[in-house]
Amino acid sequence: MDKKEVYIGIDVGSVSVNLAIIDGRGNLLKKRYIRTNGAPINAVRKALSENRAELAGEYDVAGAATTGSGRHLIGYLIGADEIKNEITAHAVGAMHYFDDVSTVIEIGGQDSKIIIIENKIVVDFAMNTICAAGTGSFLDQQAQRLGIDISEFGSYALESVMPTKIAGRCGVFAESDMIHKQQIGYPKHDIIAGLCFALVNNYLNNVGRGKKIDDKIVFQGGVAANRGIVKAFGETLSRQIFVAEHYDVMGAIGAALISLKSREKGRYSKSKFKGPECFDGDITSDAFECAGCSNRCEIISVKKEGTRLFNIGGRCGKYDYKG
Amino acid sequence: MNITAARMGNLHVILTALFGKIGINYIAPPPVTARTYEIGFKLSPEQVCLPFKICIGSFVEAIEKGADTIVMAGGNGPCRFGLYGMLQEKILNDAGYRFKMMVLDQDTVLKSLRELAAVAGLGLLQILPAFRFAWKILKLSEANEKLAHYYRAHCSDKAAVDRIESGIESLLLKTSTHRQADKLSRDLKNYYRTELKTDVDAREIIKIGILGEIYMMLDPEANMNINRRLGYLNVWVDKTVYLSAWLLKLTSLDYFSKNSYVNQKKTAGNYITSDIGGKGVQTIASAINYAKERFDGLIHLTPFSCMPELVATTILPKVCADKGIECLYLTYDGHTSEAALVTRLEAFVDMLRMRR
Repeated sequence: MDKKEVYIGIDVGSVSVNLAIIDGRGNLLKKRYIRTNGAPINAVRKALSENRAELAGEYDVAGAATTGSGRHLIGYLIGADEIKNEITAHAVGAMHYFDDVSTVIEIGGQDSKIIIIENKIVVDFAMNTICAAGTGSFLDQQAQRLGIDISEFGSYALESVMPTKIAGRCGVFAESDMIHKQQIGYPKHDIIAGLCFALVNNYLNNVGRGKKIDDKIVFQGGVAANRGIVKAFGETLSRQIFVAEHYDVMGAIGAALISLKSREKGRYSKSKFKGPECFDGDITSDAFECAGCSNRCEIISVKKEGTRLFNIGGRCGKYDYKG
Repeated sequence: MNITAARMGNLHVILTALFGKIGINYIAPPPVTARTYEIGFKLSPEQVCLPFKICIGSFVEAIEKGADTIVMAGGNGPCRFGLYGMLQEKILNDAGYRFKMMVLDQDTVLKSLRELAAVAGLGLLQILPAFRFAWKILKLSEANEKLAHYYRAHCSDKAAVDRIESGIESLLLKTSTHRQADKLSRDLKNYYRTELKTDVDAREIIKIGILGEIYMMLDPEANMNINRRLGYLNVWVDKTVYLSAWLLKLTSLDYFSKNSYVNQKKTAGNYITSDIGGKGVQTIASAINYAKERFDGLIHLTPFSCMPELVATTILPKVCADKGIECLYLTYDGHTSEAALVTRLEAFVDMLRMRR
């Protein structure tokens, strides 16, 4: 039996690790969304080992790429052929599914971004700088405080006919406003819907400030699951918001596509991907303080079965990925 | 007398040469590290800009090494920076540090120089040759940096470029005669040329101009090594301001150069008519010039709460839209997370490559 040529993309985010496996034509074969829970290595190990049978059997891995804030660590561990920033990865993913996309709204666990595309080229982008209000972690926290499951957050919001006004300038203000409204008796769904509008305004004022937001608008990232936020974006912008089918793994799909394209361009021919086997055995990491200067940087040393694979961290680059 | 001055890029290399020639003991402050930040943030007013805080930390570290006299530039002109020396003296005195502060400004510069010369038992005219020598070292140090920028973009062995650059830097620190300096000046290019191959595909190379506040531009520790990080991405970096140009400007000796303040004001005239202090006008003028020279993009550096650059930040988008050039805006306030910076730089460079 002929093996199927596949490309793997892994988006190592702060809140989730996403895996996408695509074929040589860019069709999605497998996807997986796993909570990071503070341990990216374990999450990636889990995501890969679930597909171990295919990876060892019918799939022939022709390329692999990582993206997200943990892209360097995981990239070196699995032998990625491309290590790409998440802005480029998300743009590539969005353009793959929506030919005519011009605005990508991406809201993930810790950061949010806006990407402006013209003629299939990224022409402008911005990321949240000072405020993480409206990102997944903040919503998680608020859902917990209200005692509802985050997956029900959206449907609660949709029930509201009169969303209450909540200050969206900053997460702390939003939270104290919510508590105030709850104490004077507002129904839960109006508060939740109000929060959705507040966070959308926060996003548009901070991340989207000065950006040309035009049709077609594609919304992706974990928060796109929240129908309350989608509705608030639509009403605030008075435009249709398209949520990508695989909104939760678009970064990973983008990364996989990047490895596919870069192989087509001849930047590499044989993948360095080490397979799920690279996670066999005990992978540990410990930190030590470099005494080279008074920065006293913390250096992380990644070890497998007690032998050091590589070091990472530090400001000057002295230890980066050296054995 | 044990003299010191704030840490700012390669300033210590030049001052080592200058004071070495005059015959005054110079104490170079250690490189800016997390500890410098910590001291600076503890002693400085919260709303003041990052360069002020770094200077405070750097002064304390120099005093710990034995410095008893601090030289600081000042005077009217740039921005609130003109008053930093006096304020820093007060803050450090209150914190219990004893030293003599020499603020060099338009009114006091001759008096201070005479004083310095007297320490070495010399007259004012007798220390002039030391300035000539220091100037030579400064130009060499900048030529070294510019070569490193070029080779870091054009050569795939980035580590070798870093090694050569810092090797020459330490040679400069040991250079004490004109003969040594002239020899180094002749050999400078060869250090790079013989060891490095320019093997990066020319189509891969992106040209970026860096503009904004001067301290952030000059000090690699303060700007988190942005020049190096860009070089690793095959970006050929040009900075608008080097120390030599800044010194010429400070002393108005650049009156006839094409980058003189008068000419820059003329260039920026369509966008900004009043002098807003700091590097505000220069920032706008250099953005226009870079666009004219067909650079691929710009990166603008601002220390948080810097008024002139904040004004420039509101004008730059219009300049960029008119001239068809992209700009990435970075604000620094002593945070140390590199991941956020690297992601933005990589995405910006990717974008510029796609746009080509």
